[in-house]
Amino acid sequence: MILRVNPNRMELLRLRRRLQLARRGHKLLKDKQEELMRQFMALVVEAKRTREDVDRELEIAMHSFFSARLDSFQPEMEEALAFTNKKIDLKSRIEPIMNLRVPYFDCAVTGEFAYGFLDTDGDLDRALSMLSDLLPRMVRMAQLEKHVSMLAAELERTRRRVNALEHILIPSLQETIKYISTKLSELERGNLTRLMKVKEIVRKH
Amino acid sequence: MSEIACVGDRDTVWPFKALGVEVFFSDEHAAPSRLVSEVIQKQFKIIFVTEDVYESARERISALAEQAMPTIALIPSVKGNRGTAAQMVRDSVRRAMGAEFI
Repeated sequence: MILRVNPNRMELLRLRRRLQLARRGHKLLKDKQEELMRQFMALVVEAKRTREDVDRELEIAMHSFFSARLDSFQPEMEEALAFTNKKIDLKSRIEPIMNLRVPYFDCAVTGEFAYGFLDTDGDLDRALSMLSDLLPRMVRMAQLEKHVSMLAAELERTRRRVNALEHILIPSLQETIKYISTKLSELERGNLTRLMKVKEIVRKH
Repeated sequence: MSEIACVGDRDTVWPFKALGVEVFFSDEHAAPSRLVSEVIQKQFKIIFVTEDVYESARERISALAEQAMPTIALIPSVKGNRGTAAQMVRDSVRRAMGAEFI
């Protein structure tokens, strides 16, 4: 597609500069896309594995909690659970991957459960200690999935930009440059013939 | 205040209370999607939601997809795992590649 510009030397120079810039941008974006893709693939594999692990263990822990709940009175148990000395120590920082600012979490569970052992049974203990081991991994899973979704969005954007440059902007710039230069040389030829004609007329007189 | 929250039905999220996670019961709230909005505003860093809650507050949650905080992750509820989270990862891959993969 030819851009709507005046076919003169000034435009030609301007378009040549634009083409150069577009090519450089395209190259940079392409590099960015490759790097993002490399990181993305590694992340996806890890996210998938962590998700499967967490899902499986969470199910076991929940079943065990469920059966503990069936064995004891609910109000007593809820009371037992409400008082807890467990503390979650969550450290978060935001670090860049390429131009994206993604969160990283570090999670540690400290402290003890503070319920009495009289009202509750072993299933509950098992379930809760499993959960407390699982929580840091759940946090890691959340982090990984967040990274995956943020990188995916960025990759999509980058891919669109690369494609727009590669298939629309750069070809149309090239075409326009070609159009202007043929137009200019056509004008030049026209001018030359006119001059020759004029010279001939002058010589005849 | 804890920096991790958990939103879901009572049976699923109750055990997390014992770990010091802030829990919110979606089945005791009139509108789960409104509950999610309220929780999001409370400046938690990580929010775990069950699949049911995610389904009812999908728009609100996907609006946060581009932000670093809060990070929202899905957990299966006691009723079973429908694989919504795995589906989300697959969708991400499709978005990134422009084609179906794995």
